[in-house]
Amino acid sequence: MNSLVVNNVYKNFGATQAVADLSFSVTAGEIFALLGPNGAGKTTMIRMVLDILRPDEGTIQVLDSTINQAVKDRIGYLPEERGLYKNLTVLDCLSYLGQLKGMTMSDARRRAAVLLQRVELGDVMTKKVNQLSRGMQQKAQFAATILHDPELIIIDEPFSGLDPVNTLLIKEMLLEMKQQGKTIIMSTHMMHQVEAMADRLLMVNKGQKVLYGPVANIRQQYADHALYISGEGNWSALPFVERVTFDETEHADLVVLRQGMSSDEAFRLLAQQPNLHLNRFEVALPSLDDIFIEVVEGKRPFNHKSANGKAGVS
Amino acid sequence: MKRYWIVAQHEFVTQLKRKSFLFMAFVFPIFIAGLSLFTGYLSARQEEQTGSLGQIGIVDQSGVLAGEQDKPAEYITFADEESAASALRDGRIGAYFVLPPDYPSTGVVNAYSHDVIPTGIENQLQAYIETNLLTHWPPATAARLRQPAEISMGTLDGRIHVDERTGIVMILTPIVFAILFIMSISMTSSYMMQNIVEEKETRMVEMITTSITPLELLWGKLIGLSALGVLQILSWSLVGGVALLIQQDIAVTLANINYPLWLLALAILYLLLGYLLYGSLLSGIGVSSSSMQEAQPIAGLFSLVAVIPLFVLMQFLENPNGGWPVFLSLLPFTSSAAMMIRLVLGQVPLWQVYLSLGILAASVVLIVWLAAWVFRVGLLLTGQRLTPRTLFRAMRQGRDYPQMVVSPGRQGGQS
Repeated sequence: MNSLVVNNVYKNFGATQAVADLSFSVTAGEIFALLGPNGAGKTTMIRMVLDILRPDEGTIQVLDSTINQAVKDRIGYLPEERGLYKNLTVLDCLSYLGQLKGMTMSDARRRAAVLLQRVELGDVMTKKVNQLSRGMQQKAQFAATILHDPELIIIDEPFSGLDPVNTLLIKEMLLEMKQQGKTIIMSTHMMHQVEAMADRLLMVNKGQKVLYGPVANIRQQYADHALYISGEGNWSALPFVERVTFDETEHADLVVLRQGMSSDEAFRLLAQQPNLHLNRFEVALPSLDDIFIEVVEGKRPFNHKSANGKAGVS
Repeated sequence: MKRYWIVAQHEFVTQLKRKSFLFMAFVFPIFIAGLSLFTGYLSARQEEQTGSLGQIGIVDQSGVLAGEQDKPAEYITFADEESAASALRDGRIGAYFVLPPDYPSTGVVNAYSHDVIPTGIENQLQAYIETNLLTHWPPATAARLRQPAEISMGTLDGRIHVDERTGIVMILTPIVFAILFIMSISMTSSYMMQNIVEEKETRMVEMITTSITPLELLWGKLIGLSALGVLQILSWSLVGGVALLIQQDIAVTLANINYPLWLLALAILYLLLGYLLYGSLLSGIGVSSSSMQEAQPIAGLFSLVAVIPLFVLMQFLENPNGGWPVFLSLLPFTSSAAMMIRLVLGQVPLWQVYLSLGILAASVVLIVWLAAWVFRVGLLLTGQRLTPRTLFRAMRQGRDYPQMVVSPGRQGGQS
């Protein structure tokens, strides 16, 4: 079952092509990452999903329907532009937003209080919004986004402006919601933040799809040319190795393979070497940042030159 | 609960808690009423100060006051001017009046005093002379001579029948109406526009429009803020009413008049609808302008348009059912004030009243719809360069809101 199906959507702003022929779907219950650099068309895409903007061409289906008011009530949306009513108390503000999503006032207040406790704003919920720090306001707005217990949560740049502690808190809450069966769409240019969380991703650049599929598959696919190796011996002299550097965090040598060499092949060849003793052999998975750079700029991860740009898996 | 109703409640309660509102609605009118009561009290005291100059001399050379009917206690009659003048010099009297021999034909009375003669003492003298002039007439005739005619007006079909005092109060109705109208418009203008401009500034638009439609949002704001304006006018009227009624003579006058209730009911109806009309117009200005500075002058212009009928009052007085008066009383922007003037001046065909109320109500609905449309189009144009093509496209897309133009696509995705 899909929570979102986007088919051949185009959107131009004057001469600028914001989104071009974008098609993707989001499966119910998954965390879906919409990735790309600033200005890639992520926010435009989200705004079209929510009917704030209209596509020039193409179709969008949200929760098995074209978007309407009833569907919007089942969506929680945290826009990129952050803001709450400054002169209201945090609790009043959330209660109002909850009621606008169809909650009764008592329900909205009760759940707002619980959620504000959860995001560690319990002590300040009777304070006015403009007395809160920016990070606090952002957490309050996150609470407002999920107040009405939406099935589909769409968050634009969820972690921007948050410190590491609060980033972790929001991550935990998002993962909890996934456990409860909610669908989450996150849009961000900070790709490393979603590496560990997202099930699948869509990477866009200049409005076009560059990568699409399960995160693990994509990383695997871009991983067959570097290895983490530790043990005894000198691998830098081997003919299929381009270069070797020591990776501090992994406590292992990062061995970049020559063009055309796969990790399976390298494993076989290494095993045949009589003078080598291996403690560890691991395929080095590139980060999404690395993959993005490879796909967009034509550079391979680990600074390996390659003309061989991979197409995304579907 | 309907969502516009939630918005209305929210706006009403939130604005009600603001200190600036509480001040304007309650503290300010009490202050103004207190001030005017105080100055009224001061001038009344001035009029009552009949004894402030002590004894008053009277030299009657005309014989009009020979009967000395109802002579005030502080009056002393002198035989000639010289004795009165010396009494004034000695300080035995504070002033003296001389009625010369030719007074009956000229009406001239000479007054002498070291001080300014207060109005109260002058009035006392007028009443004294009047009483003595009228002693030859029977009391009933004397009373008629004091006020020869109390005009009672009516229409031929007997629908409207008013006595003079009621008539005066009725004539005051459109003036009071216009004052309340201008006040309410200028108050709402600040609430309505500020509120909508703030909505843009807080960057809540995206969150709000994924919860409710622009139409619901604007109706909610209009209802909530109008209720607030009504509350403010009620408060001002109440304070004004109490200030009038605690002045005994005014209270007695008001108790005696026979004010037509239908006129009051129509005044309230026109005030409310006219108010909603300008509220909706101002919300339209709010959604289409980016700052308060930009919006404020236009709002000021509107409150002038509303009272155009008062500027062309002569047209109304000449013929309340003439072309211009009828036109202005049907045109929604001026109909509230225009119809109030016509209603107190004479007979207005009933169908014109219904028609102008109908046009007014329909205009409110239409303008709110248009404002919501402008709001939606503004959103759709976010990030777009304004060309005739994008504008036309956005206008077409915005109009069919909340229906979607996008047709249902193929089911299922690629994964």
